[in-house]
Amino acid sequence: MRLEIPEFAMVTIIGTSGSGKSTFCRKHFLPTEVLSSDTYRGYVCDDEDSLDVSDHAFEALHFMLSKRLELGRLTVVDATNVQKESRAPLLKIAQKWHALRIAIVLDIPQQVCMDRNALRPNRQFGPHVVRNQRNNLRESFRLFRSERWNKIYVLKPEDIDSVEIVRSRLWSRRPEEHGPFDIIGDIHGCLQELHQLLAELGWSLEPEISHPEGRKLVLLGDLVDRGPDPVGVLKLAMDAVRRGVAIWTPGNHDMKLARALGGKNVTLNHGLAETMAAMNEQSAEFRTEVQQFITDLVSHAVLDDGKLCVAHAGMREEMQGRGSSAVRDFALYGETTGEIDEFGLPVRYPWANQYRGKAMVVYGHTPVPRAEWVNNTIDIDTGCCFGGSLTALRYPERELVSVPAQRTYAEPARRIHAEMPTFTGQQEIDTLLDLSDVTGRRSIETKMVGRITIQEGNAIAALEVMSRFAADPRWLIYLPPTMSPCQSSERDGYLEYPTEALSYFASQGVEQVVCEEKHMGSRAVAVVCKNPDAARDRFGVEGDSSGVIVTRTGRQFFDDPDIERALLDRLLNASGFLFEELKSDWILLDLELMPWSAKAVSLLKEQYAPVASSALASACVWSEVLQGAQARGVTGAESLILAGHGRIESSERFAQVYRRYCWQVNSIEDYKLAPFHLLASEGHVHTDKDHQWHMETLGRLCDADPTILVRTPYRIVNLNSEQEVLEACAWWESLVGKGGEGMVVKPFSFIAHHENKLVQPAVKCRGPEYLRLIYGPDYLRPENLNRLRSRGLNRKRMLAHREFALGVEAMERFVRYEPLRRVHECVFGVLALESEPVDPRL
Amino acid sequence: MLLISTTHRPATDLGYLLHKNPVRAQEVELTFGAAWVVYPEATEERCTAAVMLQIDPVGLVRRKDGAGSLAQYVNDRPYVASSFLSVALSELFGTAIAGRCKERPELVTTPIPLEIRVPVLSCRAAEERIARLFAPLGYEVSTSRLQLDEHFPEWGESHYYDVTLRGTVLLRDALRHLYLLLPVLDAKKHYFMDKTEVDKLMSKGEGWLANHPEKDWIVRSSLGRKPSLMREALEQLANIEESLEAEENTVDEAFIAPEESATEPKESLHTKRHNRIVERVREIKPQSLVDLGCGDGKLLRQLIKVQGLNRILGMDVSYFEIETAERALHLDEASPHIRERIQLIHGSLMYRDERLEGFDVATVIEVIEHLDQARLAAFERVVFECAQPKHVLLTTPNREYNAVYELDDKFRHTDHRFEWDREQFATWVERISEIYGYRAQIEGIGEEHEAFGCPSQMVVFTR
Repeated sequence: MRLEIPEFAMVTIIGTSGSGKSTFCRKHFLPTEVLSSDTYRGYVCDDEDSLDVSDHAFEALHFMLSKRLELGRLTVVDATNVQKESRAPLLKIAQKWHALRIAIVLDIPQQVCMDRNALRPNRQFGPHVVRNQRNNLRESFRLFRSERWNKIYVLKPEDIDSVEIVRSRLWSRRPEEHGPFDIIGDIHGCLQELHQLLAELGWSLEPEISHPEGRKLVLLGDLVDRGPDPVGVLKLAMDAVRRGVAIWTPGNHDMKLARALGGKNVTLNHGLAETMAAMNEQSAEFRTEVQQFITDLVSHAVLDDGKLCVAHAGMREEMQGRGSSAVRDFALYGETTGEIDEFGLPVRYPWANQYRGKAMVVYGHTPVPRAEWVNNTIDIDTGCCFGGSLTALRYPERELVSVPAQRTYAEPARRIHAEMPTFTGQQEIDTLLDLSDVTGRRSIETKMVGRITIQEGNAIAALEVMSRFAADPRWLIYLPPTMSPCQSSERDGYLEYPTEALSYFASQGVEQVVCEEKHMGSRAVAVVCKNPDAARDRFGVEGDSSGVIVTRTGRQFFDDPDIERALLDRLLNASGFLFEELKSDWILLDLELMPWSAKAVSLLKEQYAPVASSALASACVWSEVLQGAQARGVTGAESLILAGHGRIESSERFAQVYRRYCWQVNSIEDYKLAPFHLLASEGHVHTDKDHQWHMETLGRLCDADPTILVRTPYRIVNLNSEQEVLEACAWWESLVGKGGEGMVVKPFSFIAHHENKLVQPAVKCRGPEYLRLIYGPDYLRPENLNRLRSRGLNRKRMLAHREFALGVEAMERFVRYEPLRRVHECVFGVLALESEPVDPRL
Repeated sequence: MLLISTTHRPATDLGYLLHKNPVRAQEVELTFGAAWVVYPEATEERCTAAVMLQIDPVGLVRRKDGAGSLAQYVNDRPYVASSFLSVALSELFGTAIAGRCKERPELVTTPIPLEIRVPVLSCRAAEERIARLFAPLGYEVSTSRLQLDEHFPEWGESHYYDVTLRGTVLLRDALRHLYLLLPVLDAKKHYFMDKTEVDKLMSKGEGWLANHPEKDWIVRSSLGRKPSLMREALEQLANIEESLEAEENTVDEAFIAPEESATEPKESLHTKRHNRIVERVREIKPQSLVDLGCGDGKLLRQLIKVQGLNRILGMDVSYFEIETAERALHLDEASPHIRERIQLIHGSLMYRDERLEGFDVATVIEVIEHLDQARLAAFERVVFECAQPKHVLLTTPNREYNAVYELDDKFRHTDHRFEWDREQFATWVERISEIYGYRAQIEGIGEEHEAFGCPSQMVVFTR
């Protein structure tokens, strides 16, 4: 005997004690698929037979059932289930998770069960138990119908051994259909427009409907009513489906037509009367055929390995690829709030605003003035029958193709928006982000390094920083990664030296690197838009600003908006040629903003200058005391003299280092901006261009306003050439000799991989004087330097990788027009990783 | 670093008193570095003992056992008189501090003329504070402030002073004064403070602290933000000296960050504000309340007393504050019923949060001025559009009143992003009411000034 069980279902075994339920389950299901009441009794009290704990045991069982169904796993409930009351909660849970409900009744005679129980030491209860259960079961047969099981199998003793269970695919799950697809919204009998659209999409109808590239059609339902030729559309659709070149998910109008054709009493409104009239001109066979065809349609389809979901009115994530009447209703009618608007139409619940699913959802049903992406869902019903247009979405290309309606065939009850709003629907949603999209332990999928996990503790820290200090998240489409220094150098008097930075890349199989001077200022990220309108259109921000300059933690760089505006204006004026060349209304720049004192003045006043002044004052007294003591001929002062040696010089040098990076800003022109990455512009993330492109392109930008914009000196080094490596070291020596901070070494190609692993995007190598600012005025004393040389870089490098991957991911999502929360989650992740407890001075 | 000189005759007796021979430099190893005593001068007429301290920042930053007390290599600790110096003093001069001297026992109890120089004394409080601490102990105090950086005079002066104390006192007492007061002025102890800190105060402060006019300030600063330790110390001191008031009630609230105390007599305004809010909450008779930006839970501690309020939620963006509030409310040991009534969550007013929905009252006390004005829109939507409490009680400073505090253009708190005058506040309130459908009632909190109004302004929104 063959029992067909859908791959996703709740299977309830029903039978009296001793009917062989557990044996049956063991034979046909995985141990983990079976939830047995006995086992759960054991779990909660160590005694599988204790009836005192039934409530606890079932509560636990129901919880587990719910979790498994939530995850879409087939689950079998092994309990007597002979009472209505015990089945009710199971049915409710199945309904909640849209699982098909299958009952398998083991209809075994009472005596057989009692005989079996007699053989088992733990089943020594009186005969009344099985008798009562048997009575309950008999009663249940009458109740099954009202309990609305999807399928009930009743097994007699002679069936049991021959049972073969076949798991069947759910009709809505079609992962093997990879397309590519042309998905068409509500046609409503507009055959002429459909023909035009198909032609536009490259389909030919003669001799039979086909596409030269083997594409498939998806028809999102509502093929009939309102428009001029519903029959023509039906014929085309049925033919295409039969030939295997189309998938048709039914719409509410289609279903209603099928009911009407089936003789059900339905109101002939909203264009159905005309469709019925047209159908009545067709043969009776055709009418039956249509009725049967539509009735057999599957409510929705999950295609392309779960990446695409199509349905007439959309589909929530938790319903996709599942089966219940709620799923079918949702597919046909979407979700409503229960309210009725002033036009007498149900108020639709904007389920897409909260959509977080992985699958793209393409749907129709509600006519909209333009098809718009919202959280990876799109409504492509552009109201052809109402004089709008017929729209197709090309998948996976995400291109929209439309043909205008020939005329208005029907008047909508509710006017479809007359004017275009300022912001897109997605931008409207993105004005406010949801806490649940950033908190807790999260894992973020990146193209570059796969999945990155953000620990809850880090998210907590990031939430505070993001909330208290960060700029409007709509501007934050990138945050820069941390940067690791090179390995410590063993060279006398150096903690860092270029040899180590260069050899790191050589060891990673990188043949060519770029060495860029490291400017000593503050890292900044700037979005520069052509004008405030461009900023509003692309970034969805209100107000009249045309860009932003933020720090590496996403905070607005300047408290004074006038300074920001003035600097953005200068950048904007210099960027004119870039907007042209990149065909973009905006650019994203990674840059160093100087002087250091512009942003770090409080750090200077609170930390660097106090250390310098107290160090010097203290060093002077050391020297006085030592002079006095030595003059007196004090003995045993060797260690003291050694400890005091060179203190005055090192404290003065310390002060000199930071002073170099500080100057007073009296006018806007005292700021210096050194852009070094042109990160992104419309449609592109420029991490696919080499650093020479970045340097040269940005060099031209700097030349357009040399007062404020500073070219970054750089050189390209072939690591196979000893000569070039030596020259690079000499170049670095000259940079740091002039008081420079040092240099940054990067793979020439921007992104490089070695043995499938990402190579550090940049490694810094800082000069000996500069490092006083990091490790203190006296770090070069041998006893300090030797200890400082041992420093672990692994953690820092791992962070740099992950932050880099997240930053690039954020930009890529942004240029793909993904919802802000998807961009924000990456930027938030960078901040969260930055809160890792690593040695922050590396 | 510290120089102790005397002109007592023979001045070299200083060596006996300190138990350190002027002929040799003497070194002692410390967990954080080393210290030396050396005498740059030692004549009949004048003798100077110098305490030289070497702190090893690399070692302190890198210590793996968690005892590392420095977070930064670039640090003033090696150069200033701090709690590190106190530790060195007690290591080097333990006997002298205890008041023992075998060779010259009579000297221990003889006040001698001392000149003590602290070349780099760190003091974040006002300069006068140094004199106010030392003058009552019998010193003539002279201070000279160090410049921060001669190349950048606009950065102002440093918080370092070259200080000289002159007086005829017992050497034992002088060492004890320095031991306790140098870290107090520096206000950055390098170790975790527990009850032994109170003991140190009692023993090193014996005989002078109880009568010191700055006693409260010393105790407070010396025990940091630890009200329980402060109360304990002050009680002990009060027992020593019956005439002194214990001031038990003021202790808890008197301690506020120095930056605040400089501007606003906050303890009273704070209390007034909270009292008024609790009053309004009682009038509303809500069943549920959410305190948005609850901080360390001061207001919650009042609200929990309100009868009928059976669901209280405190939210703050700072996890640290939430933890502090959790402790202050003793939630870990509270009864199940109380735990059910009051909950604390970490959250943000910049993100929609369904946990904030469905409350009768939301209190937003001194919060909005900590938000960038550009992000106020997000806050408004989170509260008034998404959470939609029936009532919102919101307070913020009245900027006009800053004139009374003589703040010029400055804000009352360094983290304030804006402060509104009464008109700006009223305009905002009106806009919110209109957009989100609330009725609003504005009132002032605190003593009213005839021109500038009240120091704090409150609005009660009602749907």
